[in-house]
Order: sequence, then C-alpha cells, then structure tokens
Amino acid sequence: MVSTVSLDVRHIACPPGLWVIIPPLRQGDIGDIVEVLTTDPKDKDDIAKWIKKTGHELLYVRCEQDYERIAVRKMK
Amino acid sequence: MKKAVVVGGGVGGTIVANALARRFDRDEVEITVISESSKHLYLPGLISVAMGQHDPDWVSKDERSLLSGKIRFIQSPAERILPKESQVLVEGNSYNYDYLVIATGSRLVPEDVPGYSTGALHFYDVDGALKVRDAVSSFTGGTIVVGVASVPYKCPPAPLEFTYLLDEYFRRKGIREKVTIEYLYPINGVFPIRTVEPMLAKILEERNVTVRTFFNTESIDPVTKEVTSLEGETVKYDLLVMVPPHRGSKLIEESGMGDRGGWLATDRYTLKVQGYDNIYAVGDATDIPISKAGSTAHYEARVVSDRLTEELQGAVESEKKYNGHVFCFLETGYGKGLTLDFDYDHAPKPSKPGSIAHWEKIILNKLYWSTVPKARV
Repeated sequence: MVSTVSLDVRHIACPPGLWVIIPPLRQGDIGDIVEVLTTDPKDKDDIAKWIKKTGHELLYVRCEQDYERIAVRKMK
Repeated sequence: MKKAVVVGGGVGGTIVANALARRFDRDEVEITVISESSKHLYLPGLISVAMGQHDPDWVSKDERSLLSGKIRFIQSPAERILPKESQVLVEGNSYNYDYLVIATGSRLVPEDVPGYSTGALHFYDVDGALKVRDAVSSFTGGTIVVGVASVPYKCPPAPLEFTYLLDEYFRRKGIREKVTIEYLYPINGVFPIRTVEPMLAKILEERNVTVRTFFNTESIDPVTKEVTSLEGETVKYDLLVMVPPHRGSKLIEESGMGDRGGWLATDRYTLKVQGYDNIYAVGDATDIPISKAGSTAHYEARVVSDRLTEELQGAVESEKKYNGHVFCFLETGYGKGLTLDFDYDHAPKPSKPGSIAHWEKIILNKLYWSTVPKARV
C-alpha cells in the first residue's frame, strides 16, 4: 500500500533534509511519497541532485511562508 | 507507591534512573532498570580502541556498579511493551509501570547490506573495534575506504574522526605515501552540519583523502573487494571500514511501536512518545531529526528526569522542554580537535581545530564514569 510520510526539519541545524528522506525512500515501497518541510535553502538542490542519481521522482517544491515543502516519490 | 521503569542501560537510561533515585526515597517511587546487557559501554571510546590507543576494558563497566543502590536492576532482554496495560514483559514476568522511559538505543544491522558481514569492518562495538585495530596495525599499503552504509547512524563525527586519525597514524608510521585513503558519505558533503562542513572537507583535502559524496552503500563484494552504492558508483578497496546500518531496537519493532526503521515517534520538545502520556523516549531510540549522540541522550535524559520528577510529584504536565542541545567533540588528529555545540535554534559555529578541545575530550574520557552516568553533570 502506498504511504505518505511528512518530515519536519524546519529551523534545525542538523541534519539536512536529504538525510531524513533517504531512510523512508530506501525502506519504503515503490510509489511511496516522502515529503520534507525545510528552512534550509540548500536542501532543494541536494535533493534534486540525489534523486537524479537514484531515479526517484521530484513531485513538487512548494514555497510556503518561510519554508519549503519538497516531495519525492519512490520509483524503484 | 509509584513505579518508574527504564528500559535500556546506556547513557540515557542510566542518567534518568540515577537522577530519579536522587530525588525519591525507596518508599516513594520504585525505580527499575531493565537492560539486555550487564555492561554499560562508553561508545565514544571505541575509536581509541580501534586506533590501538586504549584497551577494550577501558570502555565498559558493570551497569549495576553505576546505578544507585535504590534502583532494581533486571539484566535480561525486555520482550515486549504493552502500553495499554502499562507493562513490560521480561522472561515471562511482567513489570507494571506508572511511567516508562524507553532508552533502548539503536541496533547495528549489518545484514541489511549484502556482503557487509564478510567484506567490511567497523568500530561500533568492542569486537569490531579490535578487528579494526588489528587490520590497521598490520596494513602495509593499498587503499583503505572509510564509509557510512546508510543514515541515520550514531555519532555522526565518528567516520570523519577515524579518517583523520588514520591519516595521522600512517604518517607517523612513515608509510602514508603507500596508503590511499578514500572517504564515502551518503549526502552532499562530508558531514551533516552545513556551518562546519566546508572546513572539515578542507582538512580532508589537505590530508590527501579522496572524497566521494552521495554514496549510500547498496552492496559489498568481499571477493572482488568492491563496494557499490545506491547511486551506481563502485569503489575498490583493500580494507573497508564502514559504519554499519542502524535500526531501532527489536523491542520497539516487536511491540509495534516504531516506524519502518524501528524509531519511536517522539515529541521533540517534551520527549513523550506520541500517543502515550506516560511513556518517554531518550537517545537514539527516538525519531527526532537530530544527531544520534551520547550527548543528545545525556541532555534529553536530564529533561526527562526533571519532567518525571514533577509528574511523579503530582503535576499534570511538566513545563520542562528539550531545546535540542547537542555537544560533540571532533578529533582532527595530531593532538587537535574541535567542539560542536548547538541546539534546535542555533547552528554550531565553525572553530579552528586546536589542542584545547583535544585535551577536553581526554578529560571527559577520564571523568565520564564518575560523572555522566551517575547524573552528576
């Protein structure tokens, strides 16, 4: 069954957003969606670079008031 | 009489139990610690064992000897937590609690990476550290690859420290030019804290260490001596020292309380396990997005013991909150190191490696047993 996980690393110095989305994307099922809420402006680029290497799909990057929502779908 | 049960005899569980024992008499609160192991490990010391600087006896002590005499110690693996019944099952016996503290740490799961058990070494337990010590001391030349199988893992500075110390070790031995050192890391950088990562990466460059980022280990081939990443890269090695994959404890999984990784959904401020008013979690066991480190468990344990004290005295809900405080030493070799001091709201400031932090770490190593687990600091 496809699941959606939302992880919140807003205003946290460590770890970065990519760090927290890797485990659910490794352990989950194909089709699962993992979303991270982040205030770190570098997370967007890091996640985009990583999913390009791993073949997952970037679903969206949404700018909220003072943070971003980035969602990735597990593809393999 | 109220009953407080702590599962786990590591730094977090031991501090909570001892702090409560200081504040309550035996006839006020019955305090029980349940731990699978009779030993308490000082995990930051394992790198020193791996580098041949200390004997393994130095990193462990009997847990019983660290606990107040007021505390009942059950040395046996807890089999299941029954939150609805407020019970912990241990070898057919059930222990009732008014408050439960889960401090079960993290579990090494090398079996999660095919080939790991025969292809890689690690220094995350005593046996592993001794194997690394022997492999490093007999290494005469070739490629040593240091890496991290996957995230999260405990003590984020450890693989970086080990790499710096390896460089120093082989330079002092006079064979550094015969040893290639390669460092693999799962994210875009050599360390997860952005404010200090560039400086730490520069030190690796200065020490002639090759770095590959975005490297999450998928498999190891012990025959061809190759490690392959999820991202599609393959690296050859002669000696592979890799932080093994981590999961939460089996107890959490078998009690049906964790996520897919076995971590407990925990409020990052109150440290209560979500959904349970009378269960707290400290240390690695939580799913809080913060360093899995001894100091994290230490500071969380102080907050939980303060909260529990108030609640055992009748408060409905304590106001005490964990602010995300973490304090780590990071050895950079050659008698130098730096400290990383941060919380949820403040990132660590980069500081130049110096001898003061190195000596502070040595002092902590000496004082640990008489202070930290006994809840004196």
